[in-house]
Amino acid sequence: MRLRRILVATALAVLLLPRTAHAYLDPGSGSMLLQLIVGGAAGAAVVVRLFWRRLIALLPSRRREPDSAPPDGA
Amino acid sequence: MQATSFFPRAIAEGRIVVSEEVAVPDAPAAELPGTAAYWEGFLRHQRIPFVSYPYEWCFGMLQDAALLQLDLLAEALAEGCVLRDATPYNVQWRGAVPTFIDVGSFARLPPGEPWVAYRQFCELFLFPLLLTAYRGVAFQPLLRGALDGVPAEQCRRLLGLRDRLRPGVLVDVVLHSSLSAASADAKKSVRGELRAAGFDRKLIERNVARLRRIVAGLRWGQERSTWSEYGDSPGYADADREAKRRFVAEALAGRDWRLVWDLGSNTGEYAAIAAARSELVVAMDSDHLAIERLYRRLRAGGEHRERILPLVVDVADPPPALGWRGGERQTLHERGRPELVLCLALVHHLAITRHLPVDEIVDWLADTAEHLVIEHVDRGDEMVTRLLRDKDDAYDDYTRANFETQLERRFEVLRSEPASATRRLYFARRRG
Repeated sequence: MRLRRILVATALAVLLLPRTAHAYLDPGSGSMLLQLIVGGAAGAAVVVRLFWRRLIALLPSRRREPDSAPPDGA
Repeated sequence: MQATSFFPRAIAEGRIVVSEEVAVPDAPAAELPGTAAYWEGFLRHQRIPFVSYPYEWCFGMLQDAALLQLDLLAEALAEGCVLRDATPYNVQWRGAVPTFIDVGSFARLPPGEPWVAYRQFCELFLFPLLLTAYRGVAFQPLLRGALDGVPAEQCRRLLGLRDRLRPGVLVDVVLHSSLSAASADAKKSVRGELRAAGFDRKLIERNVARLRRIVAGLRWGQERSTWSEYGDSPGYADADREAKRRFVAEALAGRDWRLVWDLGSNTGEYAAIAAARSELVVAMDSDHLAIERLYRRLRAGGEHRERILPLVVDVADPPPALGWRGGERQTLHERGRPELVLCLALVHHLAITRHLPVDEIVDWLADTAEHLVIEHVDRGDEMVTRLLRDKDDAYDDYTRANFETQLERRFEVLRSEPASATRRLYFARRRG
């Protein structure tokens, strides 16, 4: 009777929906970039922001902390 | 998931396997180590009567499974959720109706998160479908040979230049392959960068809609195969065929059956007879096109749609145990032996075309099921003559007399009748 009723007892952490999606898959960097390319104008906007951020990161840093005041004359 | 509207609706429609949460005290806590404290919750599911794998499905089945995956993903996205993976192993079948079984794949979509499972979708769903639709290359051996599917680069090499203009190829195959190669050495976390750059859920939704259009538009255009026309010229007079149908129906009539296998099912004519008295008939045939036609007929509202599961299986080369320690994908027997096997007009193929000794065929049948309906086709028959035509006739064991001796060795013959001048039917029960 128990066997008949209890068919598959599956433990699912996700049922209680944690805040982040734990991705066990390797999404593949190329695959993620491809999603931007097929995304049309919206995708292009993200691409611009992506590379803008990379560009900014390459510049010599002007601030030691993100919310400190910019140096004089900047 | 209960808080969303799409999830309960999909369960009600049968597109997600029926699941209900089980309160911890009712769950078989004693059977699992460290329960309650360790697991978040328990679900009880409706049982899937027979597990099958994508390397046993026909083209239409893989296509419909892909569409189910994409549709559920689209519905989830609309409510801020996502499916964490995209694999056909998350789809099972109630007869010829697909149902999504991995409830654990649903999750909330964090803001800025790209579609992590896109690559997996391509490798396990899209590329196999493209290869069959565009090149006529069977996808089943590819999926059986590689549990993770077909990589983009391999798909690109298998497709021709001509295919580059066809839907799905330039972007999902060629670009995918190039970008993957180019970013293989990426030192940064692209996913983190995308999140910071404000990756939008709408990008995923548009991509999913685009893929759905591509997948839905694929067609496998094979017109003929050796056996798909078998149903048209079976070598039977109408009266003989009626007699055979009656014999099968009467053999099954004694009781209800839980699981029946119909080997060499072809048009599924006898699977349908069995389905009237069974919870599930697994209709197997090594001919992909025959199974495709059977599946399409069932899908189009054929009778017994939820009682016949069509599968592409060669019983002389059945799917092996695969994966880690040979335990991730099971053999047919491991998944569930049937109570009865239909083996109609098949033994001569196994014995002559596949060179299997008759005694071993009988042993395998005895190892499979307790009850058997089997048809022996004599040497004088046109079908057998054709098989022997260009071969050295070394099949000494393939005589009616030897067949019956072997059958009687393992089975008790309950009923036997001629089906035609050259064919005889047997209904038997295993001894011991």
